[in-house]
Amino acid sequence: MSRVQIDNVRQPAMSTQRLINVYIAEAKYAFLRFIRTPAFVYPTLLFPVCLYFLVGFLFGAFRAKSGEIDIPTYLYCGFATMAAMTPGMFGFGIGLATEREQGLFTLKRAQPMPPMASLLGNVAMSMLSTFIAVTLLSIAASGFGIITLSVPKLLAVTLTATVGAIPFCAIGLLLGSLLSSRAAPAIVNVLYMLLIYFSGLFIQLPKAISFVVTFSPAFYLHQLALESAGSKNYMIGGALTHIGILLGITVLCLGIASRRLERVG
Amino acid sequence: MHTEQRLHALDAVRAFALLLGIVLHATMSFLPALAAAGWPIVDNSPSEALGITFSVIHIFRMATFFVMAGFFARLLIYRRGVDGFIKDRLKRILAPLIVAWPIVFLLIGLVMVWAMTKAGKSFVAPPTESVPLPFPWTHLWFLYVLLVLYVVVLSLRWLANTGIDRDGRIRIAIDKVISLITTTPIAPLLLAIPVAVSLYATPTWIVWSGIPTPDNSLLPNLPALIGYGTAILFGWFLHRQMHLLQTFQRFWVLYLVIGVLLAIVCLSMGGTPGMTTLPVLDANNRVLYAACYGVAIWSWTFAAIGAACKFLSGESAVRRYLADSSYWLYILHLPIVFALQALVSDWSMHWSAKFLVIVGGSVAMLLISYHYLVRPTYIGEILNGRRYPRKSNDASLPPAKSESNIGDDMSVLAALSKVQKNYASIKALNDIDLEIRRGELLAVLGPNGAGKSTAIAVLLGLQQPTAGSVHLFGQAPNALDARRQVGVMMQEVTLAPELTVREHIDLTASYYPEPLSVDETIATVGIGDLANRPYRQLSGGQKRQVQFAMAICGKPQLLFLDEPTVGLDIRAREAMWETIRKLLARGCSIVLTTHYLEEAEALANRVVVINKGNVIASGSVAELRSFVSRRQINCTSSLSVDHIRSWDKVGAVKLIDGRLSITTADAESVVRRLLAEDVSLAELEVRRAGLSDVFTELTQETV
Repeated sequence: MSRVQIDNVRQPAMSTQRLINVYIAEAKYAFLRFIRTPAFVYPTLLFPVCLYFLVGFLFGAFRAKSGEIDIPTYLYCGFATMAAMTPGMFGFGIGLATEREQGLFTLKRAQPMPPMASLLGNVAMSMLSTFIAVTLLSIAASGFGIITLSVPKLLAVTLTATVGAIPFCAIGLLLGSLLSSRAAPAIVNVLYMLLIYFSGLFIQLPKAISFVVTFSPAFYLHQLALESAGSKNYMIGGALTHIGILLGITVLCLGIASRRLERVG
Repeated sequence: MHTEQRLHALDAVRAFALLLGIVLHATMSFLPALAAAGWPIVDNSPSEALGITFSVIHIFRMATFFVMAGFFARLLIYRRGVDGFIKDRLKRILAPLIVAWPIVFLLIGLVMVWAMTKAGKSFVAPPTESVPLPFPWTHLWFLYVLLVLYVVVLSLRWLANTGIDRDGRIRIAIDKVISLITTTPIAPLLLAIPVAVSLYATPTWIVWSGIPTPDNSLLPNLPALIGYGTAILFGWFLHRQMHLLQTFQRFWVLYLVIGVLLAIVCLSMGGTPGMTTLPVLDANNRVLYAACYGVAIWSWTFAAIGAACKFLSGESAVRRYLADSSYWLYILHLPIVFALQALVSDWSMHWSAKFLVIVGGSVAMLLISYHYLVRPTYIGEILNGRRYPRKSNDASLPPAKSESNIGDDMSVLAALSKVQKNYASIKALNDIDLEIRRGELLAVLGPNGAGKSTAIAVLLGLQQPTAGSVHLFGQAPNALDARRQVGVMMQEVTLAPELTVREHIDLTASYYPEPLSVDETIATVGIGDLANRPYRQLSGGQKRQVQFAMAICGKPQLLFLDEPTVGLDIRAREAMWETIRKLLARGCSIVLTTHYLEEAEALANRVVVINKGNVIASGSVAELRSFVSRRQINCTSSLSVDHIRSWDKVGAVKLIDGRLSITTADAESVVRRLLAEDVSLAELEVRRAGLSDVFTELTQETV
C-alpha cells in the first residue's frame, strides 16, 4: 500500500487589506439589503418615534405625574431601548432563520468567509439603524419640547442605545439559530412584546411583580439609557452592573448560537 | 516522585482550595460579627466554632489557590505557548466569568430578597460602597483577579524577555533565592513581608477579616493584589524548579505546626467573626498581627501543598472526579448555600446539624447537577478542557486503508477515510473512503438518499463526521486556508433577492485572496446581460448560472458542483460544460454530483457510485462499463421474445418499437444463435452498457 501524497500547495495568502475588505463588503451589502427592503426600513426607523408620540399625546402620558419620575424622559429612554431591540431581534431572529432554511447560511459556511464577517456586518447594520432611529426620536422629542435634555445627554442616550443594540443582535442570533423560518416571525414578535412589557419600558410594572424586570435584558439597557440621560436610576445597581449583565447575556447567547450553527447549521 | 504524580497532587490542592470555599461560605449565617455588619441571612443559633473555622480557612485558602494558579499558568505556557495560553484562559476563565456572573448575581439577589422577606425584613438594596469603579463581583471575583494577575505576569514575562532580563540571569538569581529559602525553610517569613506591610498600610483593614476580599470593585484592593500577586509569582517560579515540592513534603508538619500556632495567636488577638464582641487593636498590636497573619498565610499554604504531595500523589478516580467538578461546584455554590442557610435559619436545631444540612445539601445538589448537566456536555468541556461521554464509545478505529489502486502518484486534494455519519438511528455514511485528486473531474453518482450530499457536506466541513477522518488540502475542512482554495455551488440555495448579480459575485470574490475580477467572471460564464439585474428577477436557470459564477470567481483549485445544470436549457448547459472543461484544462479539480449520466459521461475522468452510505464502485467511465460485463444486443427479428428468453445466459429481453433488445453476459454466442435461427435478422447492433445501465445495475444489486 503506497502512501498518498497530501497536497496542500501554493495558493497566495490572504493579505490583511483583503481580509479587512471582507468585513467592509459584508457590512456594505448588509446595508444595501436593508435599504432595499422597505417593509423592514420603515418600521425599524420610524416606529419608536411614532409610538412615542402616540403613547405620549393620545394616552396623555406626558402630562401624567408619578412621584419623582420624569415621565417624558422615562418614555424617551424606553423608546430608545425599543429602537435598540428591533433590528437585532427581527433582523437576526427572522433573517437568520430564513437564511438557514434557504441554504444561504450553509453556502456561506462552505465559502471561505471568515466566520464572524457576516455577523459583524449585520451587527454594524443593526447599530446604524438604531442610531438613525434614536436620532430621529431625539430630534422629534426635543423639537416638540417634550424633553429638555442637553445635546451631550441626547448623544449619550443615542450612543448607549446604539451600542445596546449588540446584546439584542445576540438574542436574535440565538432565536434565529433555533427557530424555523415559519415559526420565527410569530415567536420573535411575542418575545419582543413580552420583553417590552416585562421590562417596564413604557409602563412601570405593578409593585408585586416588579422584580420580574430583573430577568429582562431590555430592562438593563433602559436603566443604562436613563443613567446616560442623567435621570435618576429607578431600580437596582449601577451602570457597571448593568453593563456586566448585558455582556453576560451577549456572550451566553453568542456561545449557544455559534455552537449550534457550527454543528447543526 | 514523577511529574505526573505531582500534578495530580497539585490539582487536588487547587480543587481543595475551591471546595473549602463552600464550607467557608456555609459558616456565614452563624457568625454574629457578620450579622452586626448588616449581613442579611442570620441563623438563630450562632457558633463560635464556625467562626474559628471561617477564620482559619480564610487565612490560606485563596493564597494557596493563587500559588497553584501561577504554577499551572507556567505549565500551560510551557506546553502550549503564549498564544495557546491566552486562548485557553479566554475560554476557560473569561468566558465562564462573563456568562456565569449575571446568572449568579441575579440568583443571589433573588435569594436575598426571599431570605429577607422570610425573616420579615423589608429588602433594601445594599448601599453602593465608596470604592472607585464599584462592581458586585460576588464570589466570582477570584476569576477576575486571576485574569488581572495573568496580565501582570505575562507583562512581566514579556518585559523580562525583551529587555531587563534577556539572558535570564535575573530569573536564575530568583530561582536560587527561592531554592535557598524553601530548603532552609524560612520562606514563609520572607514571603509574608509584602502582604503584611500592605495589610498594615491599609487604614480600613479589619484584622479578623484577613486579606480584604476584592469583590466590590473593578480595581482590586492593594493587600489583595500584593498578597495574591506574590502567590501567583511564587507559583510561577515553583514550576521552574519542581523539585522544590519535595521540601514542602519534607517540612509539611513543621509548616502546619507553625501555621496552627500563628493562627491561635492571631485569633486570640483579633478575635473571630463568631464572637459577639471583638477586641480593638492598637497600632503596635496591628503590626504584630499583620506579621503573624502574613507568616500564617504562607505556612498554611506550604503545609497544604506538602501534605498533598505526600498523601495525594497517586491517581485516584474519586479525586480526579472531585477535582474536575470543583470549578463548577464553586462557581454555582453561593446562591444554593445562601438559600439553604435562609431555609434552616429558623429551625430549632443545633448549629452543627444545620451546618451539615447546608454543606451536605448544597454539595449533593451541585454534584448531581455536575454529573448530569456539566460533565458529559459542552459546559464540562469549557470548564475542564474535556468532556466525559456518558457511555464510553471511543473504541479506536482500525487504521484506514486505501480503497483505490489507481493513481497513487496523483496528489490528493481532499479525502474522507473511514467516515461514518449517523443521524439519530440512520446511517447516512457507512465507513466511506473517498479521495479527490489533482486535476481530475470526479463524478459522484448515486440514487436519492444514497449519501452523496452528506459525503460532500462532510468534505466541506458542513457536517461533523460521527467517526473517521476528513481532510481538505491537508487541513481540517473548516480551516479558512483550506476553504480559500475551494469553490462551491450548492443545490438548494436562495441568495439574497435584493442584491444584483454583480453584487453577489463581488461579495463572494472578496472572500478569496486573488479572485477573478467581477467582469472576468461574468465574461467567463457568459452572463453579461444579467450583470445588473436583481437576483429575484432571474429565472431558475439564470440563478444556477450566477451560482456557478460565484463558485468559480475565487480561482479555486477544487470546485464542488452539486447538480450544476438542473434547469438550464441546452445551450446554457453546453456553455457550462465548456467552461468546466476549460477549468479542468487549467488544472482545477472538480467534484460533480449529478443525476444526468450523460453529463458524467461527457466530463468525468473518474466516477464513484455511492449507495447506502458507501462507495460501491469507482473508476473511469470505461472501467465502470467493463465492471458490468453485460452487453446489449439490438436487432429486428421474427423470433419471439419468449423463445429467446429460454436461451442460456440471456438476461432481459424486450420488444421496443418492433426491435428486440437483449441483455446478455455472453454476446458472442447469443449473436451466433440469433443469426443461425433467423436468417432474416437485420439491423444488428451490439454495444456495451452505458453508464446508466451500470448505475441501475449496481444500485439495484445492493438494494
